[in-house]
Amino acid sequence: MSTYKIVNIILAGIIGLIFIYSGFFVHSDTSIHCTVKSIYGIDCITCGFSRDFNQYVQLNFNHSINSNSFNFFLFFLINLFIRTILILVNKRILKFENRFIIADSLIQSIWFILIISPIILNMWEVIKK
Amino acid sequence: MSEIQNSNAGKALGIAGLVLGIVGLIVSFIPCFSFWGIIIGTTGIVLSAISISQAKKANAKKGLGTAGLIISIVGTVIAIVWVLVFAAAVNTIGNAIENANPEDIKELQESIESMGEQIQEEAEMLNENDSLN
Repeated sequence: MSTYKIVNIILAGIIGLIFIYSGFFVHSDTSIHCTVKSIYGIDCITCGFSRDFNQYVQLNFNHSINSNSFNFFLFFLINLFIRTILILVNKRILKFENRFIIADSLIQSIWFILIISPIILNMWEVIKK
Repeated sequence: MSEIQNSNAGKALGIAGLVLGIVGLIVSFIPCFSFWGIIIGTTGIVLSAISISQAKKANAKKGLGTAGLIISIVGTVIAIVWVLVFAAAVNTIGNAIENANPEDIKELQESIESMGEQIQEEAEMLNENDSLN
């Protein structure tokens, strides 16, 4: 099995676990609390993400707490789809695997920078004030 | 000069380090989980370093370990920066409150209260609209 396929399987598994956690365990005793809020006592820019993910997993897209959360949800959802497809068609892309890995890394990095930039800009504004 | 052997030495740890590096990098950008980013990133650094050392001993490829090491270091640094930024922001707010004029604080308190009332009114209106629809 190629290394790329193994990495894709692990990443798909992790994303799947994120969705399972978001869908079923956010409101349970095992829920993860924001470390910024528990230490400093203030809401951070990403507070509400897990509650929003919980709503999105249940196909409720109208009541989001944090406006940035949908971009992240879409990023993880499409990534889960892409990883699954890449695992299934791995034999066909073996010839061009190196090119595929470079393209995949570049696209994911640029996409992630685009979705994270509003949060960084927001934080920058807070620091400037 | 020795040739690179077709060996799997350090491959498993390299994969683990790379995955932890990727996860740590994503997590480190999210302030809520930036502390987790430090833990995951540090684990990624350790695993990648072991992978590189194993590959070096067996004269095998070190690409995976190196990629994992770089990504893990970047993720850990970003997570540490987020934590420091929040600590600095909280410190600045604390200092501003300590040094503020009592009248300014009262004015701020009133504006926050009126903002809260406004939000509550809007939420009630939205709920009424939802129930009508």
